[in-house]
Amino acid sequence: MKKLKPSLREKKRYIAFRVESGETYGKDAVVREILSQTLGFFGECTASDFNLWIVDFNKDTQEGFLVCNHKSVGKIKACLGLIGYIGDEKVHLKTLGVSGTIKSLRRKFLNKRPIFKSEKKEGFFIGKKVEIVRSMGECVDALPRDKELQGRLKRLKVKYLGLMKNDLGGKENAAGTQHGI
Amino acid sequence: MRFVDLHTHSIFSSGVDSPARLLYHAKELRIEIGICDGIRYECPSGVEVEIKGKKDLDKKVKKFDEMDYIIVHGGKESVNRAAVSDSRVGILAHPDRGRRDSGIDSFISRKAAENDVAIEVNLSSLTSTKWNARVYALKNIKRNLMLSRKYGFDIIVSTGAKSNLDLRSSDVVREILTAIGFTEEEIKMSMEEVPRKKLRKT
Repeated sequence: MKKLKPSLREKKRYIAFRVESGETYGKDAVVREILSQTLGFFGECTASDFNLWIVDFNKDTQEGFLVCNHKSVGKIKACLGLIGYIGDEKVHLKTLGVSGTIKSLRRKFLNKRPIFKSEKKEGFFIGKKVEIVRSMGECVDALPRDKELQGRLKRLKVKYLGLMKNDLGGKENAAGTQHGI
Repeated sequence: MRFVDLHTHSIFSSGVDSPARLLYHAKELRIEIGICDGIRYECPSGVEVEIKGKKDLDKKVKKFDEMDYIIVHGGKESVNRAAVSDSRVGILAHPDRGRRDSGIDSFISRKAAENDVAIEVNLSSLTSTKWNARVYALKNIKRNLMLSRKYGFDIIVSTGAKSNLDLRSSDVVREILTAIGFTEEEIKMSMEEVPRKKLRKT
């Protein structure tokens, strides 16, 4: 088919995003959630104006980008912000940035943050034993041994406790104070 | 515009993250947060109280007098009424919790305006729901917005975060509010100016 004149072509914007969660997701699950969220919140008629297409998603870094019409960037950001769960797990789809070309999007926003590394250690937080599962810089994700905290994680549909390295102590009762900071 | 989120919980109340971890993510998202654990931190510190009635509220307000702000866990009509009738209360949180209606009537609206109690728009009612439940949540937010325009009480936006995954950046919150129907002026007031006013009050 013959191409349209540049002035008639749609102006595109690329939005980079990262899925933050205790789980690792594939492209299919993320695409399904974004599309269902867009259709659910704005409806079929408005969503058809977005020209939304999820271009790429990297399973290792949990980062990806989508393309949309330049007039609907705000609405897409709202949709990404409204995603609270994928399946039965709490997630945050963080918008990393918006760009006019894929090249500059990759240069400016993608692969800028280190990913969580798996660990297997034990520590204490406010005198309670926790199992450190993964860490990234100063951030530590841990599983509690305490039944009450395990129940809370289950109820909130979050996989790990979010701690910082400073919060942890080597011995029981040497761990972070109640004031935490 | 910077989002000031005064309703967050750490592991010391009902959340799953340490206060330091919440503050780390808030800094990353370029927002300011206040933590409602009833414990004093280096950041704005408040408390969310669950009350049965007016007497109970009085007792709890006295107990947490030294906190920066007091949030009342709303939902029941009697609780909503008691909360907006006390000027020491800063925020009435999720007045529509567990209800079909918005939890705000003309009496509550008038009292909230009179006593300078802000009514919360809790974004978790949108992020944790879908389809029918979200339609009701949106309807309630729009109704409270309409009442705020008529009676002049303040609306405050917060995430009610119990984990760092619940926090949202300023521009995402702004876009969500725009999609709901807030004007530019109302967005600025509810995201930044009303929370700052609540902190100045103390």
